[in-house]
Amino acid sequence: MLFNYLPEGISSFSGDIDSLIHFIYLLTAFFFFLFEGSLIFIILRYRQKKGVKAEHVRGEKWAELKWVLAFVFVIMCLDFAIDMRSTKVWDMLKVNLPATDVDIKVVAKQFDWTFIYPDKNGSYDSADALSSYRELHVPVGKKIHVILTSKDVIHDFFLPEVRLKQDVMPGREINAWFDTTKVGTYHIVCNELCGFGHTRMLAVLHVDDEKTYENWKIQLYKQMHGGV
Amino acid sequence: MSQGHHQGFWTKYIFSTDHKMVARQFLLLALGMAVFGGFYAFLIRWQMAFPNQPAPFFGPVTPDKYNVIITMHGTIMLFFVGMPLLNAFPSNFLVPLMIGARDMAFPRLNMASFWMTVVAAILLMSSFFVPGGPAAAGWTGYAPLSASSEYTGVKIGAVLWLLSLAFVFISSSLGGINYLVTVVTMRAKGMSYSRIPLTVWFLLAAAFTFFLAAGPVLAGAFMLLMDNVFGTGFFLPFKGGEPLLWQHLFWFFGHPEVYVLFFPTLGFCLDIIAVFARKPIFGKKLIIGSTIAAIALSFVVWAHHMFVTGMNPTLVTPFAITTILISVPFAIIYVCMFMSLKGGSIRLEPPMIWVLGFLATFLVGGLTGIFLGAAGADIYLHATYFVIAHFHYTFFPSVFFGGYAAINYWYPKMFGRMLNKTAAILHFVLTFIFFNCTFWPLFIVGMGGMVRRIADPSFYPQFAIFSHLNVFATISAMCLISSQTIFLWNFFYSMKNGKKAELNPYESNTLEWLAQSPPPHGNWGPKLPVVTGDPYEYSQPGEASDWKSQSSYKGDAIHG
Ligand SMILES: [Cu+2]
Ligand SMILES: [Cu+2]
Repeated sequence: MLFNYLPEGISSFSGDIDSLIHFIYLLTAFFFFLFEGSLIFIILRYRQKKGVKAEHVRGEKWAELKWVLAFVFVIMCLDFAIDMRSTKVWDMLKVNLPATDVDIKVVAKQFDWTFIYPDKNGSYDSADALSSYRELHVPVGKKIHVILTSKDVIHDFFLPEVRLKQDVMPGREINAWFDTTKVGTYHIVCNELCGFGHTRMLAVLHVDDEKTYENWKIQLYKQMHGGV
Repeated sequence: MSQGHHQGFWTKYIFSTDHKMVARQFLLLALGMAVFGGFYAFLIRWQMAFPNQPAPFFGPVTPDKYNVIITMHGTIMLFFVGMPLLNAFPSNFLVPLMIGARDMAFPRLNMASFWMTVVAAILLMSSFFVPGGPAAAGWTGYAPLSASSEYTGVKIGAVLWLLSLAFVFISSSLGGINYLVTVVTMRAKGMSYSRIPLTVWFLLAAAFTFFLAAGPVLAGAFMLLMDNVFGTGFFLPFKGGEPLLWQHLFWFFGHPEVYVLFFPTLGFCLDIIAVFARKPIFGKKLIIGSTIAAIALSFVVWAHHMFVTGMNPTLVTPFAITTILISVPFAIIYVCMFMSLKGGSIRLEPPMIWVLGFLATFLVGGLTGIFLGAAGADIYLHATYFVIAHFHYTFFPSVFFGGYAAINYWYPKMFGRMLNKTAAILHFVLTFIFFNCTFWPLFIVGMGGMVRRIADPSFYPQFAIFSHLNVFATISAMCLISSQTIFLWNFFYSMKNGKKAELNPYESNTLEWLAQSPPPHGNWGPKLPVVTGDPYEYSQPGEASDWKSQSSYKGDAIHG
């Protein structure tokens, strides 16, 4: 039910995020049924009956409380289990940036996205740097390093199929990375309210095979330099 | 004490210093503002289900209007419905009555506190009539969007929004001081701290939490005001400012604020459970201890709202751990509530039904918070409709299920009449069903990747696959909002026409039930009640009666 519309994952780590979410789902579903079930049971079993007086239990003695504390101890252990799995995913994606193959600068402004590919020397400002408007092309299988920055307010770079989300801050360059496993066309969404045009701040992610990617770059270069 | 004076219309109904009148004023204000908050909720849902079709009673919800609507919906529901309904109204009405005092320690401060909230509401609503319109940067007012009119075209509206919140904060602080001082200095003879009912404890916990949290965000709001009015740039990076600073200050307040809107409901629930299950509260000391732990933890979790902002990523893990740890004190409180119900003689009267409904629904809000507290999962779920569903499953049960439980329970004491029981139960059943039908689908939609705060879903063809869920949620929301008219009718109709209430219709132990219904100015007769027992002496073995009032006060020779 919950996962009916979960978009297909297309990165090497999307499976890790999904299985973390599934893990939490199973645990919380168990406690959901446990508590709702107990509630219904209690309401049915302990409804007021003629001549039956309620028990007088204050829950102040150790004998009464120890089961509550044992139960809560189990919850605490499960909390740490979730934390450990979650931290593994988090660290892999956000803390330890791996060696990457392709660098791309992502510039957000009210209300569009520009993707800048550096020239041979790694410069984003030179005439040979490519800039693509609202279309991000990446080669499949490669690790992509994105440098995110904003020219005005906070935006957010959300690639649902990749399972990547990162705010884009003005006055800062934030480093993030992702990769892809499947050729295709996917979504890029701004996921931070950035003004009245926020709702149309969209872009497209093209995951290309190596050849298509190189061709696209050449085409873009030609477009930018009047067909040299 | 000035009791028994004849009061004129103005001093009795408008500029009243009587804690019960101030309480009723806050209640009416909350209900009135809820009409606006609910209408904006309807517009938001309408646009998500039927994008760009003119909304009934409004017209097309264009993106600029949409941003105003979401900002106003959040601001109104939290500060003008939630806080008056759960903090100001019950604190004013119940604190003096439950501890056996004649009024608040500072009655005039109390009156000031109410009228400041009115000024705040007027400031907020007047922003609809200024050039540029009202604030449109979301109720969280993230800078730089909120810090300069350059980005939104809103200038006066943003200033009015900030001023309005400042008035709410001052009002709430004045109220909080009042409740604290009243409890410390004005308890009846014999009302030791251990005999104070849990409702009062939790109202104080909420006031105290608010105090601790409010300072930083007030400083932040002042800086934001300066940025807007004088172009200072505290939060503007191109002037050397830091946008993340606002988020830190805001959420340092924001997370504890969630508990400000949650603790009162816990208090109502515990007291109502004791009365309607005819049982003492299980593990009262453990509950109080857990609450203190939860307050402490609530001040070290704020960055869970900011995992993906670009804050230091190694700092995220400690915040994720503290966040998920919060499940421990709340699990204790939940289990204690269940243990208090177990073995009881449960009477399914309307107040109790609301409490049971609260337990059933809030659970979902609590459990789904774990998805978002786990930083690895939050990477995907942050700011999707999953978050919307999650926090509506916490706020709605807290504010409305808790608020309705309190109103149903204390209505006879407030107005001297009973609510119509059939209407009350019907109201609950419809609210329970339609609340779940409104927000449950949004978990699925959010998991499908639908992001919040988009004004026009028709730009997103990928969301078309779950448009049926959005339509279902919207129709349910419209039914949910319509169902509230049953309550409004019952509330106002029963005030004049309800069955006359007895002094203590539910056979409760706490002091307020010994006063007249409604209690006169000054609450008690010439003599104050003397407290001789615990509030939770229900079903004592060997006793003929299953309850025992906290005091043997007989309401002797009352003058009104
Ligand atoms: Cu945006
Ligand atoms: Cu929080």
